[in-house]
Amino acid sequence: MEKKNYISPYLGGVLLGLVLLLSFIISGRGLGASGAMMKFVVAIEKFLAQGHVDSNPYLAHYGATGINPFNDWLVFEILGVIAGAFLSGLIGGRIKKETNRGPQISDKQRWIYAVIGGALFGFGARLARGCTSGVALSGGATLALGSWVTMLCIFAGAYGLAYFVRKLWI
Amino acid sequence: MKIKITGKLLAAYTAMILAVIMLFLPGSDTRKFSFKPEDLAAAIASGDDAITASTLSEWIIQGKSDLMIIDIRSEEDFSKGAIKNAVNIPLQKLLKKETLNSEFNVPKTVVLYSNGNSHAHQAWLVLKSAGVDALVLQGGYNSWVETILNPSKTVAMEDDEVLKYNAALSVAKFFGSAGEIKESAGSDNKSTPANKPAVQPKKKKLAGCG
Amino acid sequence: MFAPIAVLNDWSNGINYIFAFIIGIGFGWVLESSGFGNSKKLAWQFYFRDLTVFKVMFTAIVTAMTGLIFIDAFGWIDMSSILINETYLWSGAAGGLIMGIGFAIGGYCPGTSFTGFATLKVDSYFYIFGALLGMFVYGEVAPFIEPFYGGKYSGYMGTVTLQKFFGVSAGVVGFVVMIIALAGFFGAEWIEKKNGNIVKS
Repeated sequence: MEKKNYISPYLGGVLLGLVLLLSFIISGRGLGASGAMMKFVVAIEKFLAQGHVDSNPYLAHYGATGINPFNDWLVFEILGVIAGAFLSGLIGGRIKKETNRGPQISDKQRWIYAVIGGALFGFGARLARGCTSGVALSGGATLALGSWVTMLCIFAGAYGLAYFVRKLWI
Repeated sequence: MKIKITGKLLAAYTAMILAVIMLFLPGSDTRKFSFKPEDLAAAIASGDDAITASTLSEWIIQGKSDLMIIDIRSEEDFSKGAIKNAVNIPLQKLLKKETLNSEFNVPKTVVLYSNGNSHAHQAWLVLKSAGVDALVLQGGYNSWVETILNPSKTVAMEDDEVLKYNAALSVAKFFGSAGEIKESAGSDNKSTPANKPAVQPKKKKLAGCG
Repeated sequence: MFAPIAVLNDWSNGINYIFAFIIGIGFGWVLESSGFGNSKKLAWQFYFRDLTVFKVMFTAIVTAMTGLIFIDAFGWIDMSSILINETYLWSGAAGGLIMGIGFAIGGYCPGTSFTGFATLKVDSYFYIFGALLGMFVYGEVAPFIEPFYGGKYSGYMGTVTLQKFFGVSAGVVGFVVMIIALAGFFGAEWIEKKNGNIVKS
């Protein structure tokens, strides 16, 4: 399929806003993503070492004996995200095995930085109780004070570090 | 003359119109009623759910700014005598959602009292679940009358007790009481100085709903 | 008052999850259509070359926010049943900064990484692996930093919205946010024109 351009950001924003609004109207909650990842981590830990999960109060909340971490709204939402993104990519001819990166580094280097960046983000997301979807989008739309603070900090951290990692992207 | 209106500009104008309309829209309360038994039990166990009459009188005299004293008895009882600065919100009205949504939007320290204890404690549970920082006046209005309005005096008091009594008397006057002097029942007159005032006959104890 | 539908009608988990999946489809579709599966496009926000993320995010926030304010004013939605994130000032700020650093290095956030995953972006696989790793580490560290995460030093303020904090109505905050967003969009257009290098597809 011929590769199509992305849609206008404002159109995308309005559509995303409507999906977000619909989420509130239908389920009473906004969107999210990192929570589903955490459930997955706990599920793996449950499989390998249930005792460890039980003894750690933070983990036990998600997956103590008798609690199924996949029994959760976010998990199903994320499955939908993957499905929706795949369909959209299919129609737009954008399904292509590739690595996006700046011209100064190689694919492999990009992969290493992806792991590092992901690890930092994952850690921070748990500390802040959410990622850009749950905190910035959903918390932003409901005008939650803490969410706006976290959102500003995300941008501050990213813009602040950007200059020092510019080799990765430009 | 043609005015060029792009899609983006149109969207921007629409957004601005919506923004101005929003400015005048009323918002509803997002207060959640959450019942957290562990927190409530902890507060009760540690005694943080109540204050004594003397603490309350200090707060009033010092002019504690965020203090809101709520008399949850009926209007009739309230008119017969109440604590200075108290607002009368009878229990039925207090537990209504409209009251809960309107009266407590600014953080306040709320002190609840009825004649005795139990109704105030019930109101305490509801207010705490609504996120209001509430306290119960220990012993209710009866305790207030007894310790603040009618401080007791024993016949033979030590000097510091006389001072304390006179201070209590002026506090009582501050709160509008004539400060009747009561003899303490069962104190040894001369041989041993009375250590603490004994329980006094109540002046205006209303039939307790509790 | 008909919303939130699931809450007012006491839906079972099954129905809730079906709708979660459907809503997720919408989410993922829009993300991918806007180009959020491409980590280079995402990272170029921070070099002022492609401000799509800013435009999409703030348009989305403003759209949903305005929608909520209006349907609340019409009395169609029970706002007290809506999940509003609680405020933990310090842990939220610290987590945000760390996330920002991770975003600049990794080029994704969880939602967009799944978008990339769905369209075979290899770097997204590594990002997701890294994120799971980071969360695992957090789980191990969590009990030791509990006072900062949720205890005395967390800056916990309960559920507080901007309007409650400033003592105004939600509409006033909405007005201010909208004006700021519009100003931001004009600024973004100007910057992109100057730096001009949007990733188109």
